[in-house]
Amino acid sequence: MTTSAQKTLRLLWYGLLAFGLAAGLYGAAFMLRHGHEEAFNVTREIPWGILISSYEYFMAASAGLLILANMAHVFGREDFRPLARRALVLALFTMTAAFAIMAAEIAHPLRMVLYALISPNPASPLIWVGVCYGLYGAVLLGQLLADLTGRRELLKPLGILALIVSVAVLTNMGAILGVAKARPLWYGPFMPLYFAVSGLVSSGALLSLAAWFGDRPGRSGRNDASLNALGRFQGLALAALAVLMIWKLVGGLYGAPPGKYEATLALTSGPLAVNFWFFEILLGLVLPLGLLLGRPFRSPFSVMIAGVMVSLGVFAMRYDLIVAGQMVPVRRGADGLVNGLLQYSPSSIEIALVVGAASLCLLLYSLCLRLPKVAGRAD
Amino acid sequence: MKNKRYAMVLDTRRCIDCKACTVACKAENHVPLGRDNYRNWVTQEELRGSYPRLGQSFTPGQCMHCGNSPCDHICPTRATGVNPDGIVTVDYDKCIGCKYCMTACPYNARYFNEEKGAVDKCTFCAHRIYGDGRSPACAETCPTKVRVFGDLNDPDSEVSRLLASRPYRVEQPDKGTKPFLFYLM
Amino acid sequence: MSRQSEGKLSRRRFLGLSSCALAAVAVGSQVKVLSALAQSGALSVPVAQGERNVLTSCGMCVNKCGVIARVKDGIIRKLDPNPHFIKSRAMLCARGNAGIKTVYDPDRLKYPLIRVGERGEGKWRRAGWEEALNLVAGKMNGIAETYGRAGMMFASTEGTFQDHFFNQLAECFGSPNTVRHPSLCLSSNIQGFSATFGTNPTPDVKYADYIIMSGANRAEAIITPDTIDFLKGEGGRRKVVYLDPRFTKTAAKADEWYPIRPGTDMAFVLALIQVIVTEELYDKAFVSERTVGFDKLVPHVRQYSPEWAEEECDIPASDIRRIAREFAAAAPRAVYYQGRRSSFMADDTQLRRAMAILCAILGSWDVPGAMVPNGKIPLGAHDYLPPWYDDIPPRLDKGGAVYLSEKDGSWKVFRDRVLEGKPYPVKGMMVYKQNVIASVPNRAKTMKMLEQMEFICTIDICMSDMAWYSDVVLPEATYLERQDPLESLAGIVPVVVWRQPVIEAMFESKPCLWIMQELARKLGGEVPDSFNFTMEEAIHHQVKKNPQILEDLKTKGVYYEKTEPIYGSTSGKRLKTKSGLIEIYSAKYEENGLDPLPVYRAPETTPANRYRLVVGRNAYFTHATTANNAYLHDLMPENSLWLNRAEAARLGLADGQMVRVRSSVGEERLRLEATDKIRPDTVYMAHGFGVLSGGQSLIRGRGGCDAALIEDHLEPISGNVAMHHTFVEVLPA
Repeated sequence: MTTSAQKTLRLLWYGLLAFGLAAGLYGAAFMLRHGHEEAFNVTREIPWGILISSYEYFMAASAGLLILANMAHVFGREDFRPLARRALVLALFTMTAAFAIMAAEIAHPLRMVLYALISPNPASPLIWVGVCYGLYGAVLLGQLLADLTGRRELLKPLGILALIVSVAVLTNMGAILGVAKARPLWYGPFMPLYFAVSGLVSSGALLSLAAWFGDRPGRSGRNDASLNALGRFQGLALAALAVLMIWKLVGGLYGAPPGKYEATLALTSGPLAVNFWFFEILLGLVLPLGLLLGRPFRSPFSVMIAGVMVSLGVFAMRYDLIVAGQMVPVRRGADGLVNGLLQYSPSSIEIALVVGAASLCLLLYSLCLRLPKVAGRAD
Repeated sequence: MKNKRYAMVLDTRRCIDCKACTVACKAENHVPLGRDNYRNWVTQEELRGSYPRLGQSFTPGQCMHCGNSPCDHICPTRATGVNPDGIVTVDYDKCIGCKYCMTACPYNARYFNEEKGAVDKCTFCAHRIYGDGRSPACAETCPTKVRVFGDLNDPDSEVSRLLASRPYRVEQPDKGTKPFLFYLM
Repeated sequence: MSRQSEGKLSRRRFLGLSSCALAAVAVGSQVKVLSALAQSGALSVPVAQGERNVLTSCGMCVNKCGVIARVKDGIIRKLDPNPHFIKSRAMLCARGNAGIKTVYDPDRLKYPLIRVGERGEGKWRRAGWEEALNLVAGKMNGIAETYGRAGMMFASTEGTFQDHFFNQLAECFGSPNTVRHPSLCLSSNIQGFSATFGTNPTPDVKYADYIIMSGANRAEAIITPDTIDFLKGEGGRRKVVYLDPRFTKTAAKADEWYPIRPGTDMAFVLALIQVIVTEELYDKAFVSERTVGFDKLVPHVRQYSPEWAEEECDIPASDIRRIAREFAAAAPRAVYYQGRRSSFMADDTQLRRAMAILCAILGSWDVPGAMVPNGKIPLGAHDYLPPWYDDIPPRLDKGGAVYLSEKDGSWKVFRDRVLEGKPYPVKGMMVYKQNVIASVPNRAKTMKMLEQMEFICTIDICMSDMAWYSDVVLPEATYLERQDPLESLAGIVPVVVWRQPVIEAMFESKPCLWIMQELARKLGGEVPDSFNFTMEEAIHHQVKKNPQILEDLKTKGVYYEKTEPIYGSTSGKRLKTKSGLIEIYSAKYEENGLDPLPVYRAPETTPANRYRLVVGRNAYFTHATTANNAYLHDLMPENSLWLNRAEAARLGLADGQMVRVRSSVGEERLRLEATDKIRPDTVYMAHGFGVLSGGQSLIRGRGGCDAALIEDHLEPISGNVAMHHTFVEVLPA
């Protein structure tokens, strides 16, 4: 590919990201000016919408990326090493995106910092997760700095810590949903496990994209071995997720458990059916599994394609889980039901904010990786 | 002298779904206008039977001031707390608007108050109870006196006597929240 | 009054508020109330002035419940029930609580307005009171000159305690044409029961053991204390049998509900009478001592058997027979609850006669749990001598009904004659409070009537449809901003109530009396002579013989002489009937060529693919006046057309879709509610929606207007409009 073509592509890429960022900033400005009620489509019955699910997506992906980074540092998987730094950087910026979304969603983010410090409720899963984020951020930054400054001997001990905090972050995120007795679709011990596996899956997908595009333009194939390794790993993770998904469905349908049943039906045959069957199942599980586990199909390219599909699939999965969990009214006689379910669809401002956060993450990642200090050592 | 334990007993036989309680509460507690903004409600239960043999009940409700309240458990900043007398409170200054309590409440009792910038809900009109000792606005205004408010720890209070003399139920007992709104059967 | 107006004038000069902005430009307390208006529910916290409680009466509906208004820093914060007011059983309903939003309503009328565009365009210019009143007086005098003083009509309704000043102005102006609401309301009830008992009694619901209600939807059409007393509660023995083509909330509370075929209530009542007469379940002693005409009743009802009635009204004969026996067994603590609503059918007065006769033969009269005549605490009258005018013709609708009220008239007959221009033209219209366009059936006819009025002036607190189509609109102070004269409420437990201003009247709104006095002065001639008094003087006259009344009102907000019902007030006395007894057989009706005993006539059958439209209301609103109240609007933003679910399916219409409803006089568009709660041959829509006025911003255009669809048939005895004769088509929108 010629340099000018490279330049054009790069320009397009940054242009796209700038546009996305602008959309996000516009969304933030609108929200600040007109308030949450006018900007967002969440209601008292469905208080958590695409902002929460997207924040979960980015944060879980971040934790998964930290785990993947430490495949090399802790488990000595040399085929993952070329991707390790990339994974750390992306982990940092997906976490940034998650926090950017959270800053928009929370009505008083500064108050949150203050009162979480001076008046925390130790029984609250949000406090647990907050503590986990603190530790996670410290460990992630520690590992990134250690990697960048060449302090290789710190990588393994930090890596062990990283694995622990990553798992803690993922399972605590699941626990936020899991302790809510009011929401039968979420309640129980399943959510922490589900978040852990799906987080790993989403991070694998993002890392596949980072690896494949990291070798462009001017494909040198230097990431191919890693991509293949990642692809195998991803295939196993997807298989695990598929198993979880099957039992999630069975558990929601068998014997029509009240609340859980209607929510599951919303996914399989209700308003979220397209999201579920096309994005979650077909794009998110079936096709990628075929590409990754079927010998003839696996190639760096197909790993990347699977990455695209799984990214969409897990994003949809997070959205569906959050929304379906709230679509079944907890109180009889609710207004505005359609076929017995409450309705929600994201507002343009909410979408703009998510696009903005994603663009921010990608922009920071892209810029960061052009820094010679960062890029030099990696692949 | 035992602590008070506040509760409300409702005789839904008498409820005519006139919504006086909803409007009185909105006026008393400065609830913002808007159909989604309310602290209490009256549920029109599903029609029983089919034409011409029909029946219908009306069930008022509000924050249940649960003894095992999920919102109290999960609020990260202790913006929601429980008084010794059972009233579940909201400290608007500490609320960060995460809406976890709204997700966790099995009764859809909470709403986000844009004007206060915090989540809001029924407080049993604590300002009246602790102030001049009047009962909650909803109980006072109800045309047919569906609601009776009082201290369960006082065996002679009307709420205690009603619960002793009549069978009662609570909403969603399976959630284990131990609500303190009792519906006479 | 001059002191008041001077104070207001100087304040008015300071106020530079535009007619639509809420700019806080004013001085003093107006700032606080304006910011109260600007925010949706939270009131701003201005300089502390301390708190006040003011005892007054609610003005949101006919019940006049006692209110304690809580004021802080010059803003009304909350309206609480006054526990001293017995009739309300110490409660305040949704509308009572919502009164705050009537005062702090951004849409409320603030200044006199003079129309500049076409009628109904909504183009106004703000005018001062001087200019506006001069214009009104000039127009009124002009019409008097051209068409005679009777060329001005004065439409009003009750509730403000000051409407009699409005009618006083009509009288002093020299027009006999005052039209009031009863001919859209309970005139036929009053007539039917008065013809029997000499008065329209109140059913003593609290102590009754058996209550039969025909369409009196007490759970939604709140009348205190009946709405409260008719329910089961601790020790409630009362049984409620409720007849209504709709499963209303009253049906949900009643012991038995029958979806009676509309217009056949008389068949049911006559059948009850027949059973009671045939099986000799009536109170023989009472009938012989206190009634007249029973002997004529017996052969008359023979034909009205329960089996016959079952065919007419769709209620099983066995149930009719059983109810008759139960009702008789419970007597005299048994009431046929006549209600207060408008006439169903053209024979409504006779229907009420039948109800009255049923109660009479069981001795359900003037004892606990029975039909009890109202008492009333006497107040001194504020006497005035109206001027004498030569050749004032009789009221326009004279002779339009057999028993036409001289003060109230008959809306239907009156409007028809205005349109005809006979017997003489009426070209000017003064309206006080009444929302004529939304309240009188056949809205198209009302609009035609307005078209040929040369001048229309409306006094109101909000831009009702009637105000919207007027030439001059004058803002009245709301019920929380006025000193009203005392009002003696008749009832089983009579009471005297009043209103005090809770806050000063906002913007440039004025109480009715002030408007009448100023207008009278500008009308000139002898008109102002009778208006030379202050409100204080009027009140003083009212309590001169009994100053304790005022004392109690100031300290408790109410005045009672007895707090228990008064029974037996008629024993040993002559009733206000010709014979002095209860007239089962009405000789006076016979003299007037009317049926002396009720004769059943079947209502017209419903044509194919049509539905009979019935009217009604709910507990959230008062008639056509409160749907724009912000608190109440949140409860119900629009009305819907109730259609039986099976019928909707048959027509291929879905619940929640928009439909067109068409009658012979109009077409409306609103949402469909497919429900089991209504007979398959009937449809229903709640009153008070389909608003045309652009000055009611929350509800303009939402829902449909029942007045636009209802044909105006006449109930000839009382002059009422019979409202249930309209058949409609339901089509997809």
